[in-house]
Amino acid sequence: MTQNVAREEPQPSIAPLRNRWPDGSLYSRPCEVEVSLTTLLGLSTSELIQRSRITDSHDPNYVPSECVLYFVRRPGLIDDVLHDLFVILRQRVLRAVPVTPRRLAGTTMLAEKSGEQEIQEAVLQKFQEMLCGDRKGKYDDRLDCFECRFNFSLARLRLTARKKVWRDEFRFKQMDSTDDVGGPPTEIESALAKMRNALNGESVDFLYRTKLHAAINSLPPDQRRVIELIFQEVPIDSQKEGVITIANLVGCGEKTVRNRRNRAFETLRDALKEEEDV
Amino acid sequence: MSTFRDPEAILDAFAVEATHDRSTLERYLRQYPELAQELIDLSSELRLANVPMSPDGDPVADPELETAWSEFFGCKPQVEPRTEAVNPFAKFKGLAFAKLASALDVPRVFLTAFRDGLVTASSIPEPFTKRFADASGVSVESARDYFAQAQPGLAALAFKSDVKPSHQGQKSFRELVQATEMTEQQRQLLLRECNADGLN
Repeated sequence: MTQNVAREEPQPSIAPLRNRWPDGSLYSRPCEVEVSLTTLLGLSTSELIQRSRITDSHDPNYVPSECVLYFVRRPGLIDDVLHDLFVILRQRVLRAVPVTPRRLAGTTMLAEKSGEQEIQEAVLQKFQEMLCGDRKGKYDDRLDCFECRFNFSLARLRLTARKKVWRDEFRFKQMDSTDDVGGPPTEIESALAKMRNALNGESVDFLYRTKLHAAINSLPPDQRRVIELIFQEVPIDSQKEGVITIANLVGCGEKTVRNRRNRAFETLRDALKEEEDV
Repeated sequence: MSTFRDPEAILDAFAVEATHDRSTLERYLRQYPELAQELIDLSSELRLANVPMSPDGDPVADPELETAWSEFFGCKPQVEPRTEAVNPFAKFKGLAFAKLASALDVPRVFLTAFRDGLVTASSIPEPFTKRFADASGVSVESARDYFAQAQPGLAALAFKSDVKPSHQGQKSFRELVQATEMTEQQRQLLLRECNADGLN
């Protein structure tokens, strides 16, 4: 465990990435990841492991997941060190794709496998396949994305897994009701804006954010798309030529968009009822 | 409007962007309108990427850990000799070669130029390399290596040539597309790949 990560002097350079952007240029790591790697390459392996075990991302010694992956992918570490980093890396994946255990009402028994659990298992499985293929020597370009933005790339895998769950859960396309639903538009807009800010703000209560995440994840895909575009402040409709609108993007009329928004809002509001005033 | 690209690569690229605000999303939506639904779904997923972390920091149960480690550890790196590139054409002779050309939607004579090292490697667009790798069952890396190392004349020794051996100099990908007889549809696809990669 005293092996030096750098292994030789002078400190080795950081291995470049090989994946390419659609314009053909090579990926490069974000500056902060490069800086962290430069520091970490100068540490002993025991220090690297110790720091990698830190789970609080605000800790100044926290090792970004992008860097943990870097060391797992590169050959040369002794087996014990590689094992420890592999364990830590899986923990990072599991934490980024959380599952809230569901219990059967009135009992301590766990409910049958939830969609969230299926998603977590699928993501972990896919990530494992990519790691194994990469280690065999078939350099996996997709892991370069993870070395740039780990959690964003996991979100890609999560979406693929979620689409399968959607196919099962929303097998029958839901018909859009023509009935108007929801409260006054301005109140809904203002409440949704608060939710969007809560998702962006780390200072917001942990339980509130967790519930909001779960509530958004429970929305049918049609409603979730409308909510995302509202969070992005894309207008529902516009008379101006060339303006991207929600109605155009989701391929339906303005009234249907508003109904989807209002139904989604009701779901989110109900899920958050026990929390503060939405 | 979009040009021919691999949708997975585009979605990967969107995920890796530093920010996913409205302007980034709109840029991708305008460039790849055919991927609108996927981009919106991904945008939503990325919004939730910063999952709230429980303050306790307790480890998450990982019942498959030891199995996963054994599998990973057992995947010993297979060191491939770097001195000689794998020849992706080795298993494509005769009818198989014609089928490969058909799978790529290019004339056989066009593919022959790649087999014989007649195309400047740096001019070959990445989307074509990826399509070629998929169709021939080799890694993109192997395909790139072969294109980079194949020399005019040498590679051709192993095969019966089906082009008149009048000129052994290398051409750029675009020159080859323009000089080869093919349907207009085939030509446009190849030129789009060229344009997509920003190659002249």
